[in-house]
Amino acid sequence: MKHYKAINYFLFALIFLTAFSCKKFLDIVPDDVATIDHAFRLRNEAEKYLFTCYSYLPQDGNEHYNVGMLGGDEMWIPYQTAITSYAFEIARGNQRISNSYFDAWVGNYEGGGPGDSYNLFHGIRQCNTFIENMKDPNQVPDITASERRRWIGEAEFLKAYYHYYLLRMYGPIPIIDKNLPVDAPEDDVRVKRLPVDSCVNYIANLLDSAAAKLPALITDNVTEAGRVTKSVALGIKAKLLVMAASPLFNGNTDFSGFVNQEGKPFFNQSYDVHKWEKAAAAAKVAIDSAESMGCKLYEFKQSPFELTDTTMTQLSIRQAVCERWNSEIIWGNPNSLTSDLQLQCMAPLVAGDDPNNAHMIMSAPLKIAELFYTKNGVPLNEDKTLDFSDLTAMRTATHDERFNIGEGYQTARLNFDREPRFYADLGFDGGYGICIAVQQILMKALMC
Amino acid sequence: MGNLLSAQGVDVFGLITNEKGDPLSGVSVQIKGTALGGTSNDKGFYKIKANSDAHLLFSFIGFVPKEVDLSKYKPNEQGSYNIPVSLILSTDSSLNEVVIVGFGTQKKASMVSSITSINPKELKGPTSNLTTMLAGRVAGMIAFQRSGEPGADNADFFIRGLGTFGTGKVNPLILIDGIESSATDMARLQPDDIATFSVLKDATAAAVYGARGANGVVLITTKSGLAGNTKYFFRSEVRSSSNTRNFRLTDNITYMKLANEAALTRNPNAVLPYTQSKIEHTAAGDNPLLYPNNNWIDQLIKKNTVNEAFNMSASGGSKKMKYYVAGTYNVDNGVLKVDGINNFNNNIKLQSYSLRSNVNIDLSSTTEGIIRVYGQFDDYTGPIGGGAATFNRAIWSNPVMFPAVYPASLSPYIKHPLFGGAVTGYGSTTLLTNPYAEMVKGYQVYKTSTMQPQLEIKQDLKFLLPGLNFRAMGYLQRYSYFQVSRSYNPFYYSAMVDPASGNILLNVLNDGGTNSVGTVGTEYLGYDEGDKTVNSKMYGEASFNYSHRFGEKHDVSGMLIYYLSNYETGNAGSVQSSLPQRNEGVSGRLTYGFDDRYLAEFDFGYNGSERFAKDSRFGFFPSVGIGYRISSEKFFAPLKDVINNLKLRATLGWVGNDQIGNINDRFFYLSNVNLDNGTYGSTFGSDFGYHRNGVSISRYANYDITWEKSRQINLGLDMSLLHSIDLVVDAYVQRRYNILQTRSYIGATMGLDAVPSANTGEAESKGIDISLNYNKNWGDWWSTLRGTFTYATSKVLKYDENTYPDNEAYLYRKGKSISQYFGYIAERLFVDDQEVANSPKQFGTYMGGDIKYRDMNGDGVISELDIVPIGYPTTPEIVYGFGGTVGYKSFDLSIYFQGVGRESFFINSQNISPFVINGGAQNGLLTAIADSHWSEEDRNSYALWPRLGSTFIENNNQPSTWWMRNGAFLRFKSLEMGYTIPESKTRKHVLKNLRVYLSATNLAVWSKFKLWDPEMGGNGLGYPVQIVVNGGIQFNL
Repeated sequence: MKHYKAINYFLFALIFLTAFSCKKFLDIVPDDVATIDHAFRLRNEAEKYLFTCYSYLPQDGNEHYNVGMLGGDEMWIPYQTAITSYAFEIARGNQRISNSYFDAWVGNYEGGGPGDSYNLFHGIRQCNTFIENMKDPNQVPDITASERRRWIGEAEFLKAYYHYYLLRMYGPIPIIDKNLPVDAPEDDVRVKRLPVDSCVNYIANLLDSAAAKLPALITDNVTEAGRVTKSVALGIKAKLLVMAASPLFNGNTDFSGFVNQEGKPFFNQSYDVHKWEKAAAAAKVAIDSAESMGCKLYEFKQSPFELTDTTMTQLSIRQAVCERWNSEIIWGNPNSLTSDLQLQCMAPLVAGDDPNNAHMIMSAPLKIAELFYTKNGVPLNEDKTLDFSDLTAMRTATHDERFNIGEGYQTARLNFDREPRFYADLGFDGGYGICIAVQQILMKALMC
Repeated sequence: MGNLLSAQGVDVFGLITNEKGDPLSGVSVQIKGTALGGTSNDKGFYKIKANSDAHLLFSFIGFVPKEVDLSKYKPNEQGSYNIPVSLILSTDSSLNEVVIVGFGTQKKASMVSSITSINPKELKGPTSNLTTMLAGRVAGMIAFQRSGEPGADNADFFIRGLGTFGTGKVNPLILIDGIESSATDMARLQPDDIATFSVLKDATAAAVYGARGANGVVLITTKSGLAGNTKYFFRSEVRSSSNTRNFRLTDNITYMKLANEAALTRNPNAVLPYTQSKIEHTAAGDNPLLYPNNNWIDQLIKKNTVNEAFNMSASGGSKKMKYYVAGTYNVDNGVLKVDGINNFNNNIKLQSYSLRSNVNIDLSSTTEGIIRVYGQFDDYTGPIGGGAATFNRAIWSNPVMFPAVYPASLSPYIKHPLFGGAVTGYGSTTLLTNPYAEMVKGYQVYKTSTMQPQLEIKQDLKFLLPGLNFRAMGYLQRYSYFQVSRSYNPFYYSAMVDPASGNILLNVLNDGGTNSVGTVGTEYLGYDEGDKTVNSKMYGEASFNYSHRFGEKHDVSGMLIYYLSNYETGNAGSVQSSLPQRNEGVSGRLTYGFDDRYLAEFDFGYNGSERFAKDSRFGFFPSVGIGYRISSEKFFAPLKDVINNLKLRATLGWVGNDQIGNINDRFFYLSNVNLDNGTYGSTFGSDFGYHRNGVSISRYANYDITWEKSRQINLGLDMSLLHSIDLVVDAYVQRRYNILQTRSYIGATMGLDAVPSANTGEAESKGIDISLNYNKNWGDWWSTLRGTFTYATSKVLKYDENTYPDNEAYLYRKGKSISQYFGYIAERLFVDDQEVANSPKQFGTYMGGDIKYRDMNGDGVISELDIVPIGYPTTPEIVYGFGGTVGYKSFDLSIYFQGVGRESFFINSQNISPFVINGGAQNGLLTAIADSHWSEEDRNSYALWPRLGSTFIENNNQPSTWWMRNGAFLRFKSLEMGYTIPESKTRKHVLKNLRVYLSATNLAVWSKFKLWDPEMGGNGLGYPVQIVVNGGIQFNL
């Protein structure tokens, strides 16, 4: 009897053992845990992916992330007080071998955009993923063929643009035409840098391919203004080829020692004049394309006030940059607004202005102020009729000068008798300018 | 146990000899079923009083124990018994000694694996945290305690050191009665309730745990009841706890003078922070409300605190049912001062309670059911931010700008406390931290509960096959935690003298009015809900055990187990991490022994984990071991008197670690995508009106990720000498591979959003564990001496890193210890600015008297390329302990010393940079810095502190040898003196085995480092390790 009891326990235990030992026990991941496949199931999701590709566009309208603003000496700020800018460290000569400032390659020290979240190689990978998936007709079944083509064109353009941006910063770069698998072996992931000419050719071809797919014009400006068009692609191609023809990249023997592992130079060592011809031809195509879509040089016209010609000229110069979506803009990027740039540049104009809204820390150094021409259109030291030998000598503005300098105001010689661009672009002690209220300013002004 | 000779009954005496007739001294004589007994004297004679029906047990290491039934002997004329006893040398000194091994028990004699079992009594000390007793007591365990704060004082411990540099689990698996437990669960265990404590160190011991055993296993079992009358056990302790060593702050006159020097020495035009008048008034001891003169350590920290611990148990039962019920109540208080300003207690008070009930029921003659229920509860109150923060603020607060609190009489109509305050500088709107206000402004409370019901069934299957057993066990574990804090925002006041009346006028600083600065004060308590954690674990296992001796010489045993476990947490934070964590596996063991001489063992674990892709979910972890008991050989017989036991062991095996990487990032085979990420969205439209969020990837799918694996080779030697010395030596080499690492070397051009991980890392660790025990009795004297030595070193073999040119090869992690620290080589302090100008460029702005670093690669710049491995690893490579117990009759004295060696730690120079204002914190001045710093008058290039400064000096705060210190120390870890009142004196009373004792821990420490307790390492400004002096009493009923 007792034995039976024991056997019962034993059987119970066996059942216990087998009941739980099914293989399902470890299958705990339910369906529909989000994976990358979900991004290309419908047009609605894929659009988000396209916008992701756009999100890597460098913030050219921001003084932190556009190395051109503080990385040189056109503009100067108090050293790392009101704002900390790593590009500014480059301007001050503090760039270093390890832990480089404004490292756009790795995306470090503001080189990767806000939060260093927008490394350009990441952007290229997103574009490749997008292009691969969109080229697969099984993905995103609910999109029209023409829109699919346009989206691929946009991603190709962005991929080319990101390569171009890196090329501008680093010269020879590796071309990432296809994404490598995540688990690629070590040898594969070490992609070689290509010579500058190869990079240029690759990017130019890709821009051609994109241009062929892109729309000539944005038809729905309310939702699509800022998306790239054919003119944008052709325009960037023209810039690329001009850059490639320029002496820095064209037969620059200063870089003769900069060679790859096989000893071949990254920069071609013989000047090729045909590059200029190609660049000119590309520029012509780009200009024609833009003009055919209504782009033209900007001229300030509308004003409820009676303005003098002097002021109108100044405003034409200034508003070509400051007016939103003006006729000179071929490509505006609504993802890079200039609110912070304005905040840092603007001076409080009247006594009651809140200094927290106008930091007045970005300034052109005197060197830049001196670079502007005289009113005769020549550099200061070449003007034969005007004496600029003592720039700091004081002088009082006359009635005739009242559209540039406050009448009767005493200020430095440097500020008198200058070209309209000087008065349009710079603020100075005693300067007089007309402020056209614009809410925000588009930054990506290609032709300025 | 001592030397308790029974006073009642008849005399029993005799000579104890070995087989050859040589007398044996120190043989233990015990009356069976009692704790009464004695030992033979140095001539081999024993004498004991016993009842005439008693059974006497004679035992001696290396000999077969012998039981003598007095009723079978006849007394002599005097009514006493003369019983000579001859003990037979055992072929196996500990033949029947059983050791707890993974999923079962094993005869110690047949073991080939490396397991340290220690007597739970050795873990007893005046502490309510078991983990603090491990260091130096368990051979093979690297342990150290960085903080003494109640509730946060767990020691870190690693079995055989750190074996991996993976970011996942590095600590051992802890199983208490088979229940997977946390270090805190283990910390709360009472040594009184522990039956066995084993540490599984090598692969053969841990292989049955397969993918969870790579970091070693700690196995603890709790006591079960014994049939018989109910026995009660009580223990009560009162402890006085104080800091081993406080960091020392200098006097405030020096503080102010050097603060002025700090400002001037870097900027000759600096505004002096303290006027000469303020310094003089303070020095003269003028009104401290106007000339504050605080020593925050004295004002915040008490000299000592009193803690209490109570532990009781009741055990007993009938043949059918046995029980062991134990309850514990511990109170641990902090050393923070509490003022009558508030009616709440802002000091740390940790109360922990536990209740354990182990019931064994015989369900049938061959079936046993065991029900264990354990509940563990912590109730904590303490200051906002914890005790360590209070210690930190003692040095991170200005001592002379404000008093802690003004007397309430200065503003009689105001009900809230009048805390002293000041802004950080002229025109500043930040208030300096008042550490006193921070400490008393509120309190936080947390409570934890752990409930563990457990059911186990054992079935003897001898009717099927003699020696076959079945066992099944399952448990549930529910844990919950919540935290709330309540505090007010203090009002701060500054004082000035009313020129008219000469009275002190107070001016409120933060009332919310026009000139209010800092956080506005509140009169009422605010409330903040902290974390709430709940989780649940379920586990079940079923196993067959088989053990049989075939013929005379063939011992065979086997074990096969299936188990599964499920863990879920209620606040995981994301879909993927909220999914249950599961393990399932089959493990087995097969042992064979021939004639107790030749031993062989095979173990395996076959485990699955939910973390990996379907095809690589299960892993197989085999191990083999062999043993050779030379002392059982016939040719060894002549030596056996000297070497009673000699065994050689060798094992080789593989174990794994599935808890790799971040627990919230564990499904490596799935990509983790955010399909609605605002960061990667874009906006279009002429009025920027059309926005869509974007897509981001935080993990790429990788199907190949798998376990971290460990291949271990262990060579061991067990030896018993002269019936009194036990020596165990184990040497091992472990190669850890498949360590999960991020592939950061793949470079930016891959363009991956998330750095992928791969099983690429490899590390090797090796070392030696030695334990030595010595037991000897001489008549009324008895002694036990113990020592352990653990050396564990590691080396990175393969590491994801850059490639460096030959002249920068020192940058490689490869070849260095896993916990190697890297930094600059500080040569000395710059002599003057001239030398600065002529040396390679360093960091930030610096001048003479700042640290000069070595330009390792000679590129003329000190940069990250000049970082070299410096010092010993930051976890000690050597942990040792030694001590012992000597007893005379009923008195006993135990002492234990413990030390670590081959460890470096690094002072965080920012934390002690004097005078620096950082937010509202302004650092105080350590005496050591005041005494030794570079100054323009005393240009000591080797001073403790570089040139003073009133801001952080980036150059000096680089990781470097300047801040490196030797972490080696030796401490007087514990002392216990006790007196057990002889049974004869207590028998008439109810109390039995009454013992009173005095014990202490951390009484002294020897180290080259003097600023704070060296065991705290770089954490020296935290809550110090405690000296505890304890009085205790224990008795049975």
